[in-house]
Amino acid sequence: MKIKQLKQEVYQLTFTKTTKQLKIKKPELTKGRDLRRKDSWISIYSTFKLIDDFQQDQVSQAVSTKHGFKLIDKHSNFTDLLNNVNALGSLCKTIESKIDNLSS
Amino acid sequence: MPLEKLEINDIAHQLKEVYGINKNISSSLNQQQQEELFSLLENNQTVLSLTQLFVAKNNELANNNRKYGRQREAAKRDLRDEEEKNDELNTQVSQLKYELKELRIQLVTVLNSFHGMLTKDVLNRSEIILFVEKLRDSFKK
Repeated sequence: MKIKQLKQEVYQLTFTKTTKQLKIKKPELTKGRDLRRKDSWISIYSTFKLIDDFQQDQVSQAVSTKHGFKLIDKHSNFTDLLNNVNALGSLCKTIESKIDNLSS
Repeated sequence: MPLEKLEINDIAHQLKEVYGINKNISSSLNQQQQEELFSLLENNQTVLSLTQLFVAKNNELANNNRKYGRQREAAKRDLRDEEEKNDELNTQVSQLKYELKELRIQLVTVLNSFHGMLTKDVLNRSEIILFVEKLRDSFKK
């Protein structure tokens, strides 16, 4: 990935638009790094992706518990499948409600 | 009180009380200069008028400084408030982003499970119809 693309990925992930903003909002990611160098941006991207993936896992567990998703395996039956469809509906409605609250 | 007997602080005090010249301005003059200024103000109408204009202008600028200082502080508070709101919104957007990603992952998982059951030929026609209806209803607005 080119340094320009790396920067764009980092900006998108961190809700920033410029390096200056990134330094202010995420000093823990930029401190001590030479931001003219590509390897610095690779480190920032990797670190943030690690945190981002960890948060995704946390959300995933919370969502599974809250909405009652069940792990489907070869022993699962049609009822289990329908249960997960209902859980999908519940998650979808929660997200819609949150988006409505944000936009109101 | 004779002018020559006034101490420097007394003259500065008089300059402030009688002519409105702030002590932080008169303090830059030595005692002799303050005495000369006092004398000039008492005896020279032009110097008196000019000084009064300077004092009035200085007061106006001081008032403006206070007003702009208050506005600046209010703007800083507003900016801090907006930044906090912005951070809060970013957090919520970030949370939603994760949940949408999770929704997509779960949808793919459910469809894969459905596909698996279809290919193993364990579903009857009514179950397939029910699955499709339920899935459609899940995403209905």
